[in-house]
Amino acid sequence: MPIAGLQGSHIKESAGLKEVVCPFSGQKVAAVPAVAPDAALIHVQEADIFGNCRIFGALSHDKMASRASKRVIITAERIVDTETFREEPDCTTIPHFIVTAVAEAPRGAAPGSCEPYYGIDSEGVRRYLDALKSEDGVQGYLDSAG
Amino acid sequence: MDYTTPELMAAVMARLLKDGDTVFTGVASNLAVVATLAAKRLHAPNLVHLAIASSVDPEPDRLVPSTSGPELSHRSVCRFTLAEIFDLCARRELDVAFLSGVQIDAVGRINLSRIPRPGRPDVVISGGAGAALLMPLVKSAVLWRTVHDRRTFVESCDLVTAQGKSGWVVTPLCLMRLTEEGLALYSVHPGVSFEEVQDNTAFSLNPTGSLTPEPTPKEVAAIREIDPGSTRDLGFARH
Repeated sequence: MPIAGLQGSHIKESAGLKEVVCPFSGQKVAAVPAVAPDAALIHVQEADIFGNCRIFGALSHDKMASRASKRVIITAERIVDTETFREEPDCTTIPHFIVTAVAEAPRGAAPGSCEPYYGIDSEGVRRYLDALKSEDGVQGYLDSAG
Repeated sequence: MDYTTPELMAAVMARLLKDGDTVFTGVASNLAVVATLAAKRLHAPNLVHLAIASSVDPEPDRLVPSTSGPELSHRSVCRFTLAEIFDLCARRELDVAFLSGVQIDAVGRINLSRIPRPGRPDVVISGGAGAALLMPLVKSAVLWRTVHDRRTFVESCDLVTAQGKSGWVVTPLCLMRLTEEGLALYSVHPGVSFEEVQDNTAFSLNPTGSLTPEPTPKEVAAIREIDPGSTRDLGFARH
């Protein structure tokens, strides 16, 4: 699909985008292919057992990824009743029918942040990045995370 | 069993919906809304109702003549806009859309836009753009009409608003199947003859001995409970 911007950028070539001529204005515009990931793994603050999800604060790419992906796997700080969603449907970020699976996983975003439950753990992020340097390190990290 | 034509049609439309289907209902779609809510209550509890009131699985406490107002977002589990419904359909994830046409023709095209009248201004009909986007992409387009006559079921639409290749047509007289080959008669309703359907259709139909099953007492009871104010009768000729 055509999008605005990207004029003069080298990203067009490196990302494999194409140029098309707008049939209305005659101007050259960048065209991007649709992205359809096989799966999205998304951590949310609240979900119900059917997969309805609430994300508070920064949405990042989560909402878009949930729509685009073939499978959507949710982890949630806490599982809440569906009634919570029916009381405030405007707060629902992801509807149940596009969700493949949901699991309760408190501290599931750590050492990253999940407001208002916990902020970023910089020391934890450092330990995580160190652990990634070797397979033993990864195994040790997973064992310690229990 | 005592039942009205709208009740029979609502039951037929409800039976076309399967458990787990994603189902879109739009504006001026009273019978479609009643059928969707009835299917959810009767045999398709996991059906996903996407109403044009930006809602997912609403639980309306009353039905009113409008099907785009806040009544159909009452107790929804998520705000889901029409733009998102179009995107869902473009990704081929919408199972059923209830649509209609002022004209419906032999190859399954609809006209919701404009009817020419010799020597007089055209009749311009509002709407139809949504149908043009949804009908070619939805897995099953369910067209429904409150009248079945030769003015509606024409050989060829004067203007084509939308074309689909997969779905159904529900009328007061019969049920038709829409495939790549066009419309084919599927069953005639109780008390209706094939000749009566053919006389009221401007293109020739395949004769069928198949009869639409009557609505069951359970179906009629569900329809009446869901719609105590009889919004399902809107658009039908009064008798």
